[in-house]
Amino acid sequence: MYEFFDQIIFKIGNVIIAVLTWLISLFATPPAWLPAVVWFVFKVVLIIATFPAIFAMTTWAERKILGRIQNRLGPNRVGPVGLFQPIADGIKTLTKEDIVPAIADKPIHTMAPVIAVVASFLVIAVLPIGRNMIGADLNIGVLFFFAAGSISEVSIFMAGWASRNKYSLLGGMRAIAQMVSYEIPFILSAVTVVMVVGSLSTSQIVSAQQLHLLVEDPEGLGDLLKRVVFHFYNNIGGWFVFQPWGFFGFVIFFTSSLAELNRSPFDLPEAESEIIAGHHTEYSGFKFALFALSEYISMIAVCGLASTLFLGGWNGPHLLPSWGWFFLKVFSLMFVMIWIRGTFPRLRADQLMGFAWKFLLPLSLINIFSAGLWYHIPSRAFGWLASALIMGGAYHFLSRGVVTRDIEKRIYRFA
Amino acid sequence: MDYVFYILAIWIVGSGLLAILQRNLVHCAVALIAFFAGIAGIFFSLHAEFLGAIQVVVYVGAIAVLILFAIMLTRHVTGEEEVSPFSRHAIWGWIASAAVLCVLLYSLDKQMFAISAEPSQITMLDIGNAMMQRYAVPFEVISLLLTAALVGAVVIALEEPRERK
Repeated sequence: MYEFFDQIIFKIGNVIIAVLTWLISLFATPPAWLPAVVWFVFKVVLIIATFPAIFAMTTWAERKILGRIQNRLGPNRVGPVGLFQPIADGIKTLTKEDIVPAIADKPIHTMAPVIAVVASFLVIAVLPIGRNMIGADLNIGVLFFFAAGSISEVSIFMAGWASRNKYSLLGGMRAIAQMVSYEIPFILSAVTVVMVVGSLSTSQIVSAQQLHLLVEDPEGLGDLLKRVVFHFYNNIGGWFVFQPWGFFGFVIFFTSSLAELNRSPFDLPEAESEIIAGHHTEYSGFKFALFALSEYISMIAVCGLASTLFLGGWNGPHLLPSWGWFFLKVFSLMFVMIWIRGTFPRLRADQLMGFAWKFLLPLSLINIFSAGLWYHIPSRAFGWLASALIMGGAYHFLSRGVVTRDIEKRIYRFA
Repeated sequence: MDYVFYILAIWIVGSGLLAILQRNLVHCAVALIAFFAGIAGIFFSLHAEFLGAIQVVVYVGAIAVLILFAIMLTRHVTGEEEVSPFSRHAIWGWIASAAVLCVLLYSLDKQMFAISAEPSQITMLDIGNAMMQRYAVPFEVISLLLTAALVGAVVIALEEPRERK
């Protein structure tokens, strides 16, 4: 039963191949390349169909959750609890007039959203969504992720520049300065995992987080309990987030990914109270929707990479199929992102830069060192302790260093 | 495989020509990005995925963005000012590009026909070992040089702090 749900995509693909082979064999001999091509198309269609659907539901969930946080209802007009709101939005953006400013640089203005969407979809290809479910199992998976992700910076610049609008240009400049700064801790925090696993392949990183403790005597009731405990431990205990370097790496990765995605509290590039909407001020209709699509797809992808690197990828006890675990982790991380958006105020530009260069960058460098120490100390417990001590000390002293003035205890006077 | 190469070659030559022939500075930069992407495609088609990804990370993600950022910080930000390729200042550009061309031709003459047709599989492990063992010293020297350049750039760019009363 578990096997069936775990491998369901695999089985559907095989059924499609079987049906196609049968259909062709009625007229001619099926060519040898048929299964490979069908698999290729099937994967691409699956990614292009699934992730925009998740994007649509994410916009709804985000508005609903933000509404709950801000004590209002959120969308509730279209469909039950506003569930069809994304469809209404999609139809609205499709039928809207596409307004391009008269002085805009038209080719670049048009190309920018397309490049943004392409870059965000490329990234999905290397994420292991479930057991045997990966778009392209490259041996440089993590590097490919960062390479394709860096293209989105170019698209934001193109959008900001080609609009010929001061707000757009300011937004583009802010976005690039911020993304270039936060890209360093973003990548360095992932380096720890690559170093410990010894591979850039995402599927190998996932399998490195599985433990293989065997039960010696699998009989009797006491052993059943033992087996359950061992099963849970095997599938959860190996996640890198439980190691000190992994925990800090995860937090650094998650924080800097918020800045990479231009999400609150690092949403200066589209700060609506300062520069209208940043680089997509001059976009309307479906081009604007494409930008939104690329932002949310990148958000899903970054959460997916975070769970692949630190949260064990699709590993989990066999209560859910492997892809179920993956999406559970991704949606939990996305919920935290939305939660942060509803809770934290926006940073100032100097705070943003100071945080990246004075705090996250040294912390991620020390984290690499502590991961190396953890790896080379033979005793796991001692290594864990050493790594935790280093990271704890570094966190303590670096956070003191960022504070530029003495923080006094705020005294509230009521009336 | 040959088709892939020819498509990429047309793409690279086309975007390279666009990068040098256009008048608008930002259009040139965008064409240059397309050019870098094409080179990365060549690496991928030769099964040098690591180099291809590094090509995108370094050239598209860092150098092209740096160029774009530099353009944005100048007054050429609208990209409409035209610079003649035959102006007085351009002579240094001509000299530099001629020198680069000479070096490339020289190395092409040395290398081109020594390369075997079968690309050997170079793994990341080999690259890492080469960088950390055989070429460790040159690698460190280059990084020191880059750090010195960075410090120099900061010193030049940094204004003297104004006197405060």
